[in-house]
Amino acid sequence: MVSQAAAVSDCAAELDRIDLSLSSLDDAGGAEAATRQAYLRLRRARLSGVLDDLRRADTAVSAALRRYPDWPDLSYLRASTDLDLHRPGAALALLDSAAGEAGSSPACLELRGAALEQLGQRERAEDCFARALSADPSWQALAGLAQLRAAAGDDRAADALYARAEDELTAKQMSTFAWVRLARGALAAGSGDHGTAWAHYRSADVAFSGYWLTESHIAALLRRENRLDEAASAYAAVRARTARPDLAEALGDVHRLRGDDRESARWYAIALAEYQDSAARGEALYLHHLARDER
Amino acid sequence: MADHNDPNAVNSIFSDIDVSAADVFDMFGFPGPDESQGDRVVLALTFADVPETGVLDADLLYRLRLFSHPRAAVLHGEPRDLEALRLYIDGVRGTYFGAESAMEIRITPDDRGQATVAFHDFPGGSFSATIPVGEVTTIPAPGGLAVDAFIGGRDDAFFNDLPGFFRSINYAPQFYHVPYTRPDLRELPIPKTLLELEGNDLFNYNPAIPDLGWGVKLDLPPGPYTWNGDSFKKDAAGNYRFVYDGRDARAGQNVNAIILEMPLRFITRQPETDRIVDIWGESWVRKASGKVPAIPDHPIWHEHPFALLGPDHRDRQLEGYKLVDTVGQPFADAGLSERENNRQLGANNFWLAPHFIKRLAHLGWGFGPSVTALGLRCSFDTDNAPVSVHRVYHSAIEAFPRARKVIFQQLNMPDDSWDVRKLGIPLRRPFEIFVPNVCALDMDTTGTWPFGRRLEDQVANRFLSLFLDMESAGPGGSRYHVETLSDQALWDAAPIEPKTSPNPLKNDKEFLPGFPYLAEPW
Repeated sequence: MVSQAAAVSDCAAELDRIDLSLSSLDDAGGAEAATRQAYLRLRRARLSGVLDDLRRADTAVSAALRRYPDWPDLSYLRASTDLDLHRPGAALALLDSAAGEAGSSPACLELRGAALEQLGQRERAEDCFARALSADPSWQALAGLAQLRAAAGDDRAADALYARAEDELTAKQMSTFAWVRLARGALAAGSGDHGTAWAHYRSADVAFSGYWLTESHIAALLRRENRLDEAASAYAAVRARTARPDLAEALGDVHRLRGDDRESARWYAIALAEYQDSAARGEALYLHHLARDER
Repeated sequence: MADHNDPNAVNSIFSDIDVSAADVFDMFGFPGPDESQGDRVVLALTFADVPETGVLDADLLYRLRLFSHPRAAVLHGEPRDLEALRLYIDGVRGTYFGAESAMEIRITPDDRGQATVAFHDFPGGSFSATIPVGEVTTIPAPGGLAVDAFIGGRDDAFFNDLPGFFRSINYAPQFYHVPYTRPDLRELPIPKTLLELEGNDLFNYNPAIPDLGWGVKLDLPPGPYTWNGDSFKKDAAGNYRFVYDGRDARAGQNVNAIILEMPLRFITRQPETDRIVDIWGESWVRKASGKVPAIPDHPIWHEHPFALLGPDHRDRQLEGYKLVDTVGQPFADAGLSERENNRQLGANNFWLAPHFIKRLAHLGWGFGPSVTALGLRCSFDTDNAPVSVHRVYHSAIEAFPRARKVIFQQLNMPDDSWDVRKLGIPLRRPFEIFVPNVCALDMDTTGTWPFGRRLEDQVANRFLSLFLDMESAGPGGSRYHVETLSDQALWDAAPIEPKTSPNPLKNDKEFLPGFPYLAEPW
């Protein structure tokens, strides 16, 4: 018999812990508490995959930064949130203004590298990650370099760097471990090695169960394998939890491949409306989807 | 604070870093009181009580490492023969290279209230046992020997005015909200001092906020964070103000602990000559990749604990963990290594020696003038500086002449009770104590610091006594010793308020006369 406790996924349990922590923080805690609150909101958004959670995190970071404009931890959190919202220019401008010692810290260099990578400035991004690594062999810098290698088509080097990033992670960072395994799995899937991809995805699920990102990767792999009914079910499940428009578009793709044009059109319409809604809010998050649709 | 909140990766002073079970606090080592069956060695490693007192984190692995060897000294009255020379050379080799072949005890808690204790490379062989957490257990060992074990929650045996120490080094995160991304705002560039500095408003005691640093934090005011004064602060009566108030910051707080007591002949086949037992502790946290295969309900080491005893398998086990923290000597990390993550080297801290010299000189420019202002003789050459100076050295060669006596002077003991067998054991010197970074227990002593570390030792005061000149004699020929700063008569006569030992002289709970020695948890 499966116990009640066992039925709660790792991700759900972590989200509960975050909510509990958030409820214990109040406005009287100063800049440190405000930073923690904003950080927890961003972490919640990343783990839930819910777009509105990311918007709430964005608001929380902005509010905290308005209140404590000189608190450097909040500036870093602002830059990190900007990257999640595909605003690399804003992130870079903020990091450029980080003065002195803090500006050359590994944490700052990792964020700069990620921003430059989003802007397509790969050489400068690589320089940032390499400098960060020389000071601190963090998983973030290794994973950042891995993403650059993957973008350059060197999957083997990318996987080796991801493996090194993985080795830096402890049992207290299982969601991050899952993220790295998913990145490795996606590399393998992209090169046609579905066996390796499945193995990584299974590891990710064992490491941190109930993670929406794992479920969306599995759905994508099912689609690659032309297991379209399973892919549709998997996408539908994760879309229902997260309400992400990109997953609505993916559902449209799968139903199109299944030959169900009506269902496909329905999901495309939902995705388009949500992309337009996002753009109307001034978000850059899905502009590349809209641009592609217009083409 | 011997090693609390060190390194920064587990430094819970910052709000975004949780208290971690990997934060090892103190390493105690002393001879057991019952010598009826031969010498016995007591080891106690304490660490943060996370997830809670008496419950250990199953993702952690704790390592106690031991190496026994002869004393690297030829005692007065010992024969000057080849055997004496051989023992001396063995002693030197053991002191500086013993870590390479140290025995070890690995403790891996599980999430079912048990812990596996695996003994590796002991003279009698390797073996393991799984014992309940929170209970005194006797583990049978090869050769008909036995090891007493307790793993679980206890009262913290460390008693210390932690905020006082942080006030002395102007460590802002204890008193102010400091961003984690601003390491330059931790130890502010204000002279370190034992006496308050006139105008050092950031760190001087503020009667309007008596609990500042004792749980109360303020926003860090805008800089500059330097001090431009030229004198120590004095009250209307002409008394200096101590940065310490002698309160126990660890009062009423618990730890989790690993406490073991074992015969010396369990550690060495030559207990008659191997009189030094070097001890240090380490915490390791399981790698994420190691947790994935460990998820099945019945990990192999629960069912087959001997499967992990082979060297190959053992190293594979350790490959699944990351080293987080080490502890040997109190203050070697928190006081001299500045809590840096990359300075958690354990015994092999030789490359840190130049840093220790620079750090001792930096501390000496701060504490030295405080010592002389009180009318005490100082071991650090301050050029008769009238007030503490903030000076940072980039060269050990430049720093060394100032700190020469701090590093080389013998640390006097208050009497000879520590030398139990009256062997004339040489006094220890700071350079011998901190390099290598081990608790070097001398089994012919009581094990009081620096000949080991007993629970009742006030090691913070003893560490500060390094800055007292123990070589020159005072009136009546008296000399300072490691307990001088714990002498209330000194403070009663000194022009200082409050008239207190810097740190409390007793733990908040009485220690137990027998195993497991540390008091019950609160």
